[in-house]
Amino acid sequence: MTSMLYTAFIMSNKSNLPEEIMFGPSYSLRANLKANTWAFVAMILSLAGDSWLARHADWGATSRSVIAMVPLLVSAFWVRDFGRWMQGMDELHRRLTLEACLFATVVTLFIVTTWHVLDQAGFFQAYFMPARLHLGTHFHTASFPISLVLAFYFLGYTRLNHRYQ
Amino acid sequence: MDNKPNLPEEIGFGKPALWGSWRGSLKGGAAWMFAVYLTDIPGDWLIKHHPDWPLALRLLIALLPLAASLLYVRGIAQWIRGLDELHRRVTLEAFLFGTTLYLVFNAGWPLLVRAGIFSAFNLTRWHLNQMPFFNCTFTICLTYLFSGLGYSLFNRRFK
Repeated sequence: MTSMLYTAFIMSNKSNLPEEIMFGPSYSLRANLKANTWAFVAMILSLAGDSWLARHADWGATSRSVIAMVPLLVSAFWVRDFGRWMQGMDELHRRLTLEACLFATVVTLFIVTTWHVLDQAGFFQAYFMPARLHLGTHFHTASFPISLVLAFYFLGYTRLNHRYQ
Repeated sequence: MDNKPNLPEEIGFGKPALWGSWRGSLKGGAAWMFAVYLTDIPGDWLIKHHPDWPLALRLLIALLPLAASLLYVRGIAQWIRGLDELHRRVTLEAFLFGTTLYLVFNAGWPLLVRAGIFSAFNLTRWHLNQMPFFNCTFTICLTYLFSGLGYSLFNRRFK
C-alpha cells in the first residue's frame, strides 16, 4: 500500500522543462520566478548599490563593502535555486541545460576578458563612440554579467536543442 | 572498438596518483593553454612598455592570447565529448562550478576595490587590490583550479 502511494506521488510530479523559462508557448511565469527570482533581485540591488556607492564616497569601508557584496550574495541564492530547478528535470533536459549554462558562463567570461584586453590596448580611446557610451563601466556591476549569462543561456539552449529535434 | 574513452585524470582532475601522461593532457587542449601563457604575459609587457606602437599592432598582440584561449576552449569541448556518460556529466558540472565561481570573483573583486575594503584593512601591501582578474593566464589558471576543486567535490557522490 505504501509503495503504491509512493508511486502515485512520483507519477503526479511532472519534471521541469527548460522551455518553461523561455518566452514561447510553454512559458510559465511561476517556473521563471522559481528559477530566476534571485537573479532579478541581484540585478536591481546591484544597480542601486552601484549608484549608492558613487554618491556616498565618504561612507566607511565596511558599510561600502556590505553594499557592494549584497548583490553577489544574492547571486549565490540564484545559483542555488537554478541548480534545484535543474535537478527537477529529466536526464536529457538536464544535460542540455548544463551544457547551455556552461556555454553561457564561458562566453560571458570571454566577452568580459576581451573587453578589458581591448581597453588595455587603447582600442576605446582610439574610437570615441564606445568611450563616450562608458560601456566598460557596466562590467563593474553584477547586473551586467548576470544579464549576459541569461542571454547566452537562452542562445546556447536554443542552439543545443536543435540537435535533438 | 579499440577507441578508449577519455578520462578526467588525463587533464589533472581527481587523484594525483591517477594523473595521465603529457599525451593525454595534450588531447585536452593543454598545448593551447601553454600558447595562452606564452603570448599573454609577454604581450601584456609589450603593450605596457610600448604605448607608441601603432594601434593595429597593439591590437594584434592583445588579441593573440584570446584567440589561443578560444582554441583551448574548443580543445576542452572536444575532449569532453570523448568522455563516457558519467565522467562527462561530472566534468561538465565541475567546469560549470569553476566558471561560475570565477565569474563571481571577477564581478566581486572590483566591487570590493571600489568599496575601499583593501585600503581600509591595509591589504594593499599584498597587492590584493591589483588581482589580474581580466588577464587570460589568470582566468585559465583559476578556472582550472576551481574546476578541479569542483570535480573532487562532485566525484564524491558517485563513490
